[in-house]
Formats: sequence, structure tokens, C-alpha cells
Amino acid sequence: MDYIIIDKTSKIPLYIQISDSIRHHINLGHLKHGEKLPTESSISGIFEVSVIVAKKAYDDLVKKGLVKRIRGKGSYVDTFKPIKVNLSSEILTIYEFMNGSERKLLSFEKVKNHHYAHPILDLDPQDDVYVLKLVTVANQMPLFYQVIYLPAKFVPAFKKDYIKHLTIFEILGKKYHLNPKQLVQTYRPMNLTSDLAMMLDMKKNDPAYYIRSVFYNDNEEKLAFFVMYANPKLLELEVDVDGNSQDNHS
Amino acid sequence: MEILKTITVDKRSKISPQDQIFMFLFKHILSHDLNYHEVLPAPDALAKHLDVAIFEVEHAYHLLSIHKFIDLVDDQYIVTYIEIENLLLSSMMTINDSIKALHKTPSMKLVYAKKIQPDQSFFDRSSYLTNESIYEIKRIFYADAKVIGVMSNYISLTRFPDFIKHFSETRTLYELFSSAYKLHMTRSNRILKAISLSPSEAALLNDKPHTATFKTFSKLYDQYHRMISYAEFITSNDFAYTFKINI
Repeated sequence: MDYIIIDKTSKIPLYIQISDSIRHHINLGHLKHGEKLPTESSISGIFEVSVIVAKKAYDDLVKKGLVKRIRGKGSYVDTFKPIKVNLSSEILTIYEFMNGSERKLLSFEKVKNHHYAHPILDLDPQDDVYVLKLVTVANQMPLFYQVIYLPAKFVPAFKKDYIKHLTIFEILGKKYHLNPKQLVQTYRPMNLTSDLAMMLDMKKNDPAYYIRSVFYNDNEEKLAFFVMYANPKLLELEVDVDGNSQDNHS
Repeated sequence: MEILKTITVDKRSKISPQDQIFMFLFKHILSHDLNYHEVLPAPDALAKHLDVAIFEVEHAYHLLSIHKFIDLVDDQYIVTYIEIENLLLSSMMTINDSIKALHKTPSMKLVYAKKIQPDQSFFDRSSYLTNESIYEIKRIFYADAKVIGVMSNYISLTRFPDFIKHFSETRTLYELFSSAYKLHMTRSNRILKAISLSPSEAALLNDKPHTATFKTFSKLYDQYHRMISYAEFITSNDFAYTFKINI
């Protein structure tokens, strides 16, 4: 609590002094997102101020959007703002390389007769499909859990190292000279199962984005298929739409 | 349901009966041969028809459920896959047109239209100023008899002081703004979030509390780039948004 400095001889109200010293240390990065702050009663006891003063200081920080109160748990530094992604302009790359994010490959295998991927990709059960499972971490929190299905007939001898530096879109184009012409993405809301919740460091039944993506070539063949689960607390999806409307959203 | 009469299982195949059932249903749901809200046979009935064990059908249904293609509602398995290209979110398609695209009849019901006193968080997300007087119009949209979403439109009476005089239950806001103010909605900025339904939201959507749904936060702009309406739209859990992007 050494970051709270109070000068009782100052004319500045005590609650402002407390609030300002906490804010200053948040801005300097000494107090990080998620860090628990002292209780109002402990501030009151140590600095010999009333609990009302301490409460007012926290009210001020909550109002400024720097602190979050969790009932029954306490007050926490809340500096994390969700990443806002504009689907109209960033859709091809957002889920692969985002600023400050890191992709971790969890598994890589070649399978036949996958109950879900084969029908979606219009493949015969005997056809091979590469299945990659990845997690993308931003600000030390899992942002997406992704499963990528790539038909081996389009990407023979696929190497897992490819995904270190290239997006799937780039791999299809640069490594295999395929020509993705269209991407169809479907967004659905879902309550997380316990397995998925564990992957995303969330709780079972928490709401999440379920996103399916399919890349098509000129011949309407499906070149790749992704399934992605994302944490809505960390990600906001934005769309700008132009044009005349009859009664659009009204 | 006609298509279900053609389902068969080849017991000599290397592919398990459950995978054959899954693949048959999956393909026909994707191709819309099995339509949104079509009822599938009960697992025991289909198992009997195919002469397979019930667990084979149950497993196929389970796989379809976890990928949100079907859902168990009131002890019936129904198709919940309703994806339509460029649905609503990514185009200036109207809610009513998106419902018509599902071959359903659109309708709406006014829940209320009244002046409200929003909290600070509302002003933060809407970009309205805290001293503006806000009028909320809350309506339920239906596809046939089923609730598809609940929309709240927020209008500033500070910007449109005689708005209430022009408003009627049956009139769309487009018509109202166009005829009363000669303003046209030409651009929309939308934020999509997955949320957990509150008990009051769940009651309006005839759904269970804590069910995951999408909430869209939309700012609508006129031909002069001024925000003329802010809206929040909660859709039912089986509502999906599809983007089709030409690269």
C-alpha cells in the first residue's frame, strides 16, 4: 500500500489524494490489470481516514473506468479494454496475427473420415485432412481457440512450421499457389462446454463467439475450414455498413 | 420431412451407422433440404426405422447439437441452422427482409415507447450527451410465431423534439425520419457481442436465463453523417450472422 500517499495538511480533499495516487501508479504500470487493491477498511485503518473517504476514492476510480468492484471480493485494477476488430476491413487476418498476440500450436495431425470436417469440406471419408489446434494469447489471456482443417489434396506435405509466420490465407496463396476467392464466415453465440471453457480460461456456460470460416477457390471448392471459439470479454466485433435502408435496425 | 424418408444406413459400410446418420442429416441441413425449425424424428423412432441401436441416432444428434445445427426443444429435436448469406449484420438488409429470406412471415409487437432516464454507461456506449432527453422504443420481432429478437431504438428528443408526435406503432423509423424530417439512414456502425441473457431479456425472448445470444449495438447515421438513432438488438440464441467476402 506504499503507493498511497496522503498529506493531511494539504487543501486537496483526502479522497482525491488517495484516488490520484492509485491512478498515478496505474498509469505508470506499477499496478496492473486484475491486481487486487486494499479494502476500504484497511485504507481507513492505516491512513486514519474514514471509510467514507476511502469509499469515495474508489467511487472516483470506478467512475474513471480504472477500477472494478466485484461484490463480495473487493476492488481490482481494470485497465483492460477489449480488442475491437473491424470485420469490414480486417477479416482476413484478424484471427491469425493480431498486434501483441501469440499463437501456440497445441496439436497437429492428419486424419480421415472426420465427422464434422469431411462433410463440410465435401470430402470422401478416405481423404486426408490436416487438423491444427491453436490457441491465440493476448495480454497473457487466451483470446481464441481455433481448429483448422486443411484438405491434404490441396496442401500436400503441409508442415506445421508454416503457421509460425504466415496466415492460412498466405499459406494457401504463397506456398501452394492456390487462389482463395471467397471467405464465408458464420458467427453464432454459444454457452461454453467445460472443455472449451478450460481452453479459454473461462467458466462453463459463459457466453462466447463460435465462428466458422470456409475459404473457396474459383471453382467453389473448399480450400480450408476453420472453427474458432473466442472470449467476448476480450474481443469486440465491429462492422461498418453503408447504403440505403428501408428500415434497417429500426 | 420428405427428405427423411430417403435416409438409409449401409450396415456393410466401414463408416459407422452414427456417422452415416450424422452425414446424411448434416448435408441436408446445410443444403436447406431440412429447414429451420423442422422437427426431426425422435431417436427411438429413427433407430427403429433404420434398424439400428438408439445410441447410434442419439450420438449423431449429439454431434449435430454441439455444432448448433439442431437443438432439443420441448423434447423435440429441431433444426436450428438458419444461416443466410450476408444476413443483417453485414448489410443494410432490414430485419423484416432477413426474416422473409427465411421464408417466414415477419411481424413485430411494441413492448413500450417511453421517455427514459438512462445511466452513465448508456451515454458512454451510445455517444448521446448526458443532458439529452432519450425516448426508447422497444419492440419484439417475430418470424411466424417465433420470437427472433428484441430491439430497443433510442431517439434523442433534444435533437427531434416533436418525434413523439410523428411516432406510431406500425410505422418504421425509416418512414418516420424520411417523411417527417427528410432524413435517410445511410450508414450504420455496429458492435457485435456475445452476451448471457438476463432473466428479463430471457422472458422477452422466451428463452432460458444465461443462454448465450448476440447483442448488436448500432449507431445509425443520416445523409449528413449525423447520428439519428442508436439501437440495441438482442437476437435469439439460434440466430447466426454470416459474412460472404470476395477476396
